[in-house]
Amino acid sequence: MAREDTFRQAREHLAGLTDEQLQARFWELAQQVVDPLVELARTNTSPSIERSVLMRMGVDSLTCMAVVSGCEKRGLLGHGAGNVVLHCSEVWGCSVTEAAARLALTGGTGWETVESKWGGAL
Amino acid sequence: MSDDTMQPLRPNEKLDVVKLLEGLEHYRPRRSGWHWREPVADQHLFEFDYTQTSKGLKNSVPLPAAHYFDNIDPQPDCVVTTEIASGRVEDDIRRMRMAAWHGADHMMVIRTAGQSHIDGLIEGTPEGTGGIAVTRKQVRLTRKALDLIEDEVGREINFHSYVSGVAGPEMAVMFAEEGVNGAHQDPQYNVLYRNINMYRSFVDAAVAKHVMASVRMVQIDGAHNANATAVKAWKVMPELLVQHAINCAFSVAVGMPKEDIALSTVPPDAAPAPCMRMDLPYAVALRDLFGEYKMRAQQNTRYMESDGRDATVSHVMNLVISRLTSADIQSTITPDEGRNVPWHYNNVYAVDTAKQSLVGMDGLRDMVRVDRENPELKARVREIKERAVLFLEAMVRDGGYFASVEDAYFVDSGEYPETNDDGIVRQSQGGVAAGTIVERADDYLAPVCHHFGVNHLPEGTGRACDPIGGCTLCDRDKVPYTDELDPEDNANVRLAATAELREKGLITPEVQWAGDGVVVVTMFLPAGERVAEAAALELAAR
Repeated sequence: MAREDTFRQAREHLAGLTDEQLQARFWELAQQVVDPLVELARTNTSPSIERSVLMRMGVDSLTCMAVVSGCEKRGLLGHGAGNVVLHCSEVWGCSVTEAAARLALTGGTGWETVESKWGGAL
Repeated sequence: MSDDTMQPLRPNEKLDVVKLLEGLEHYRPRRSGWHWREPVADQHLFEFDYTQTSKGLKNSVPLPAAHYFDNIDPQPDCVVTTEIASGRVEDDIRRMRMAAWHGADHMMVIRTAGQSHIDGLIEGTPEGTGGIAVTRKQVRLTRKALDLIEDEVGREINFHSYVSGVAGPEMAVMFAEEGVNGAHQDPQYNVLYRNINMYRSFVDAAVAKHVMASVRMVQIDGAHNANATAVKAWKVMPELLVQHAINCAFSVAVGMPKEDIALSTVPPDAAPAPCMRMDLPYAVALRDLFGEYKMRAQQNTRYMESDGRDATVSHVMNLVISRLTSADIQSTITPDEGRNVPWHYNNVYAVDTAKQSLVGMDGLRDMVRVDRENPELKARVREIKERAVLFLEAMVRDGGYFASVEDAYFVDSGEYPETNDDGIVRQSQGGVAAGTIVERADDYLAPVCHHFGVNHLPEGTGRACDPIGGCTLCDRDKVPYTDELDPEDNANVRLAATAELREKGLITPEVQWAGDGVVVVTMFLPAGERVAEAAALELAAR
């Protein structure tokens, strides 16, 4: 909705603040805006985040894409794609990069190991 | 470990791009983090004393008039940026060498149109539009070339890229692994200008920023885009302060040191507006509120036309504001950017414009100061801050960031609290990659270092990556390398097409790509504008 410039009236409660108080108010409000955004980020993940985890585990980008898609399809992203790959590597006795490569194969061999721990969906 | 198979560059020899492409799979960056120039407090060069300069270069091209002054080439105190966007990595790195010789130490490579919407990494060296595809190979080749170039000129060069878009966390990890020194990262850019889902943008941004902080990458925000997008750029000043504050507070909350956070700030206006009188109070208000952060002074693009002279004068006025206030990084826009993707010599012109202006105004602030008691300036500085506080108060009252974006708070052509109901509207459930965030479960685990947020590591774990025996941020030898995926669209194929030029030492004019053959002719035609344009096209065709 369009609104005319109401600055003169709207500022009345700020008029008595010193420059330092105004600055403190600015940052206090900015923090209030940001706090829920930080909490959302702290408690959620995404396909790109999970691929970035696999990358840090030494997995190449094409394999990251395939494994995270497999996790998404099965509703497993919330456990962490790195968690899924680490679990497989422990069960199969291989490196995490080998486990990721096996999960990424066309046809998706090895997902039964994942599903036996977490099921097919969250 | 850096690549020691390359010989140092020789000033009179061309960059051997073909050789640089060899052995990239073995290249490792030799450092990470940002490099600030090393100030020299009172520098005496030729017959002159300087108070705002830094350590000089071993090899450089001085300003045109320097031959009157024993060819001195004083380097300003702030980092100087050039933006390179040829769309071909093999040509970008040649231009970086040109820019470095003229005084640029921050190479900002624009990425191809559309990459911000690709949900994943691109590999190889495909040609881009308006910039390159940012890939591991492109980054590695560039950093390898910059190692040689910085040794040649005698000053560290910062390589900069983009951690925005829908694949931000992956970009951040790849950049951390590959020694990228600085990056743009601002979730508001995703939301407002790329219509990427807002939840996804902030969730991704926290992880990306945390990784960037782990290698002390300097972050530049995206507030300048509000300036460049606004219908009336002089009306968005309060909102610019709000956008800067949101990205700063969010970045600090997820672990980024304040000294690594730079605000992308642009003098919003241009003549024939009385732009300096309008923009100076904004620059002062910004630096008052954000004194703990770095200033990346950008040049105005909003009112840029195809006239290089006009753009250069605007940019010099922007540089006066930088000198009267402060700039830690002085960015440059090429004078042809209102007409085409920047060309080689315009990058050089822009860097020279910054160097000439900054050195020319050396120490001026000791004699010419901003009069903080001037009634107009004082009132306006206060007013801009109060309008920004009112903006934030309303955001909190109306339900926070996401609700305010749905309510079109941002990039409205009214100066808040005035609104014209023409701001950018995005829906929290809409946009690219909507519905893709997932709550972390009670057993969520990411066995890697520098991972932001809930992470249920096994009890007693030392380093987060101990369960996997080390991650790529701890052991660079674990970083995988993917070469070309497209047999046609890559640097080797493009270089083969110009091999004869290099092998026979042929010379062909160019503006952005080796051998592109583009020339610019300046001519005066004694005719009206439309007739002259038609005549010029006919002359060029013949």
